[in-house]
Amino acid sequence: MPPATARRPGNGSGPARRRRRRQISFDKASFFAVALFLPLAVYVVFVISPFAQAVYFSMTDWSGFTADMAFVGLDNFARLLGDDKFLRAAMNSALLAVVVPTVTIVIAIAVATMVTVGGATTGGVRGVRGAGFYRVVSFFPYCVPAIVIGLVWAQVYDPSRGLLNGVLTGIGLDGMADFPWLGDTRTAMGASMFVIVWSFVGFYTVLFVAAIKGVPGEIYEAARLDGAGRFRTAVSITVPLIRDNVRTAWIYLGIAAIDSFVYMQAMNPGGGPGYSTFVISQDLYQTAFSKGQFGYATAMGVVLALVTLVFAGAVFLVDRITGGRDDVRGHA
Amino acid sequence: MTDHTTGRATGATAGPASDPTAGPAARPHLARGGLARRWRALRPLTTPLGIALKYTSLLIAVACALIPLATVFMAAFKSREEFATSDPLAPPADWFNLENFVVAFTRGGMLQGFANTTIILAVSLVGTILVGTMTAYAVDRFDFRGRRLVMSAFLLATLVPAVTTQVATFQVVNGLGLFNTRWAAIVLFMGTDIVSIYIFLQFMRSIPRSLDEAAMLDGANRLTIYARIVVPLLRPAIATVVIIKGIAIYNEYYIPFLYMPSRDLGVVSTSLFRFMGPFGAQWEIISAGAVLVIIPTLIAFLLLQRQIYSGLTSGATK
Repeated sequence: MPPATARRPGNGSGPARRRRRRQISFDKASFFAVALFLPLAVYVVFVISPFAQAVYFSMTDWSGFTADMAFVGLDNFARLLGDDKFLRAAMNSALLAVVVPTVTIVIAIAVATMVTVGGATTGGVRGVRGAGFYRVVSFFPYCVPAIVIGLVWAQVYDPSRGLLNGVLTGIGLDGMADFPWLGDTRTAMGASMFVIVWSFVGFYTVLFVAAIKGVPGEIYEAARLDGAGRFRTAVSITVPLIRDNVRTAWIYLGIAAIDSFVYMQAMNPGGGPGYSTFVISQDLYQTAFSKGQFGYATAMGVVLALVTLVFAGAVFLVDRITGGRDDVRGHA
Repeated sequence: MTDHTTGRATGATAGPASDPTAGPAARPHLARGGLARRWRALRPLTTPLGIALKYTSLLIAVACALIPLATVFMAAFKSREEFATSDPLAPPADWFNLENFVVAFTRGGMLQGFANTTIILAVSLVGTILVGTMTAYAVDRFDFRGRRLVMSAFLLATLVPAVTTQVATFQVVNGLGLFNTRWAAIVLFMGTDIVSIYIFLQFMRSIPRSLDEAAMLDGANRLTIYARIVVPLLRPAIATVVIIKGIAIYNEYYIPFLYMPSRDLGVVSTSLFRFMGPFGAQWEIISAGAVLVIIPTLIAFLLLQRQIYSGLTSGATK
């Protein structure tokens, strides 16, 4: 029976498919059940169902420790609007979502350009010498656990014994001795952002390097012959050609930055001076698991999901407005 | 523009062959045309200043990446007083002072942490591979209604941050009696991973269907095809997933932190974070712990570099 289907010339269209549908054997059905429904069941239980439950919990006053919960409608969300601590956290998360991806992507593209097409301007288009070395070094932080990164930098920022103040006083900036980078409202957020960017840059550099390598070298050579300088080449050739990768990177980085729980927890578990590095995920954790306000915390989670979706939507919108569809993809 | 003219002037007077800085671009047959002029207009970028600028920026980047890690590495070998008084960039007085490591291992619970991480890593990886390859086989090789729905359901998880559903997920895990067991982490690592399914799917598409059909003609059933043909051919994809997922699980902090608060269930990341409590600001001991955590990743990274790059770029760029 199967060979009859296999030899049929009408490839995969209407009649062939119907014929295939008819020969469901026990073997196929049983394997299908195990291979698809088992993973799917796990996924539904641990991902989809919590999502649906979260929406419901967010409209209750559930404490989490007892079974009883009352439906309170949108009260939790109204309460969030008047919760200064939460609004502060939301502002910080939004700031992270804007700054971290932007800075990370700009640096990553700059480094990726240098190690791929930034080499000698004569001869073939190639990277700077020792590109492999820079790639290895820049990528390594990706393999270091985020918690270690947070702790390492907390130590670098240590006011009296940290590396940063040591270097700054060493070059003559004595005013920086004992300056608490993570304990001052003016610098805590910036210092924390730097660490997050630091941990992501290498990974995205490697991604962009791979993307740029997919661009035919002749395009760069042509641009060079037309007199485009290095900056111009990066802006007008590289970025448009790896546009899809940049967009994806923007979304992933944004989602990671909106969360940022681990980094903030490692550097300033309490939320930083004046809650200046306090983010929604920390607020949610405290509200749910320390204060026992599960319903209210879930409402925070739902807001966080909405913020994330709005963020992703915004990235797609900006991409569309700036002409994401009809780019210079002449080589494709 | 001025460079442009200078370039032409040099070309005209000195001639390309006699100009030592022109390098390979100075091909005589180009010197006559406009091409050469434009080519040479770019020369200032290869001047010593340009090169210096380029390498300085790269060196600064390298320093930013390495120095913090280097100071932690050195701090791990310093004694308490030495750490308090010495310069962070100064090497330790005694490279064989392993006191901090002993403390980290014995009182810091790092040994327990490594044991737990290893168990979770092994079970979750085997589970992820089984689940991922089976799903990829089912989705790619069988036509069924709702295939799109299944794929978009899997996509949902990548767009919604895990924190959103934290409370509800916690409730599910708790309801199943998995809270404060290793199974909590294992099940969550296994069941919520879309990236590995995508990687398997992509490789799956490159395996010709005729192989399945030929095996079926020989009387093989689906399970045999899966075990004897699909899995062996997916080996490169499996290697990729093991690496990517392995790094992610080893680095994961939030899931063990939330679901396995018991001290005995600490994994490397949570054990290390617990150092902050009893050891207060004893950075030399925290550093030793950090070094212990980094060493396995460093070894894995140096050994598997090539596979990590190719795996990430094949899995994540598309």
